Amino acid sequence: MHTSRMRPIATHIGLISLFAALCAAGAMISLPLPVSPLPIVIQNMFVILAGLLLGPLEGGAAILLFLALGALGFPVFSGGRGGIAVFAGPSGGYLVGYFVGAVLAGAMARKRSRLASLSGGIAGFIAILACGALGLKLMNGITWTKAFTLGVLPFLIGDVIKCALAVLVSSRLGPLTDSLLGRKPHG
Amino acid sequence: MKDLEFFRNISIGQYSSGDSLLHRLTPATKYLWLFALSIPGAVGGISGVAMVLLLALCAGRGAGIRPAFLLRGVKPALPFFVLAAFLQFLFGWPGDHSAALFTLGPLSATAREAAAVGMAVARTVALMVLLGVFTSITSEGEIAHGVEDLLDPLARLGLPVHRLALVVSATFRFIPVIAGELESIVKAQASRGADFGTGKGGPFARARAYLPLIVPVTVRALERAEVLAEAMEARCYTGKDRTRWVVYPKVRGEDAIRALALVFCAAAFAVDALLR
Repeated sequence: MHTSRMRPIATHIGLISLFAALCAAGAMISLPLPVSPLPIVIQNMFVILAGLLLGPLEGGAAILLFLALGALGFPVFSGGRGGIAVFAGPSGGYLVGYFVGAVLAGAMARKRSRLASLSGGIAGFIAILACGALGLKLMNGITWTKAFTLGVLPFLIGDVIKCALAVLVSSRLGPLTDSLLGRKPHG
Repeated sequence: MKDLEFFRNISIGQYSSGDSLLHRLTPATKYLWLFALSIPGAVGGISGVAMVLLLALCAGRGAGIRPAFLLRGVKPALPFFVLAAFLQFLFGWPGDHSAALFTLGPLSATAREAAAVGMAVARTVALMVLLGVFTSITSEGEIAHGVEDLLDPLARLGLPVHRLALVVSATFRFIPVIAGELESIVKAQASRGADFGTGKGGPFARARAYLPLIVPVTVRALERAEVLAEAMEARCYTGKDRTRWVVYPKVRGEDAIRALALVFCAAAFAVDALLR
């Protein structure tokens, strides 16, 4: 890997489009779980990973691009769905949360310490779930308690695992993306 | 192994090549019609939505796309229709005094709720068919170039329009590649005895089982990004100008076709207002 020279524009374009593609490809794989009818969907993990690895600006751009492709109708959302109508459906809040979560995770994890990455990852997942529950509440006019039971509780264990995974991966690969983007490692 | 077959075979976009008038329109015109029809489809009343659906099906017909193919595209959304209806019937609206249609345990459907569910389904179907037609007549290259052409005026205001178009087209190329890599890595790890999802222990221990999957995928993605950046640099990309010299010629009467899109959009809302 070349780290001596800074290549901002081309590298930024490559990384942003790759992470948008990773999120999109994350919709196409669902790992079956023998114990649960719900498969593991790894899309939201790639979303948080984009924030953790690329930072708030580039990570947010990658997620915006991914959401825009989905809104245009490409089947990049979980379950192979796409189209602007998904945003108005029950899972619309989560999609908005993807953007908020990635930016938040990226902003908090700038320091690249274990603690910063961990708190960034946790904050990112909380943002996704909170936006999801809010969307559920607004779309269906239900109470906060019901929105929490339907929209947060079932995903909690899976998201804790995915959060741990995203933090582990970002602590391994963070220095690599930093050098690709020509950033000096903090601390 | 069947469990590990991913959806990499769904073609993003499902472009079907053809030489109809719709295929030959410039990408900017196709986008314009997409937006002009999406607005009444998304926020219009029932008659506006019906007009959009009908026009989309007719346009598909004109482009040589069978309505059955377009309607089949709605199938993956069916479980979500059921979920939306379930949620709607489970939680009543406060102050909803319309007649109850049926009651089943905690589920009770009032006329107003049923109308809302029906409307949401009609909207989704209309928009999905519309997008199906759009992606059938617009190739991936045209989609990226259309973004560039439409936003071109904003480039003068300093918006990085050309970079945006480049990122869009790069993403399209990467999606199938990454999906394929994910699949091959999962299969490789599974054939070596990797056990996804059944491990015991706390979240960190279970997460560790997935590391051999996520790390290679991400590393390979980063390597690809670097190769792409190097290739762009080798071709003297500086991020300033457009990177293509394709010009889409306008078909005869293209400007009139563009104007018609706005007329239709206004007409859909006018019909809605008249029939209300």
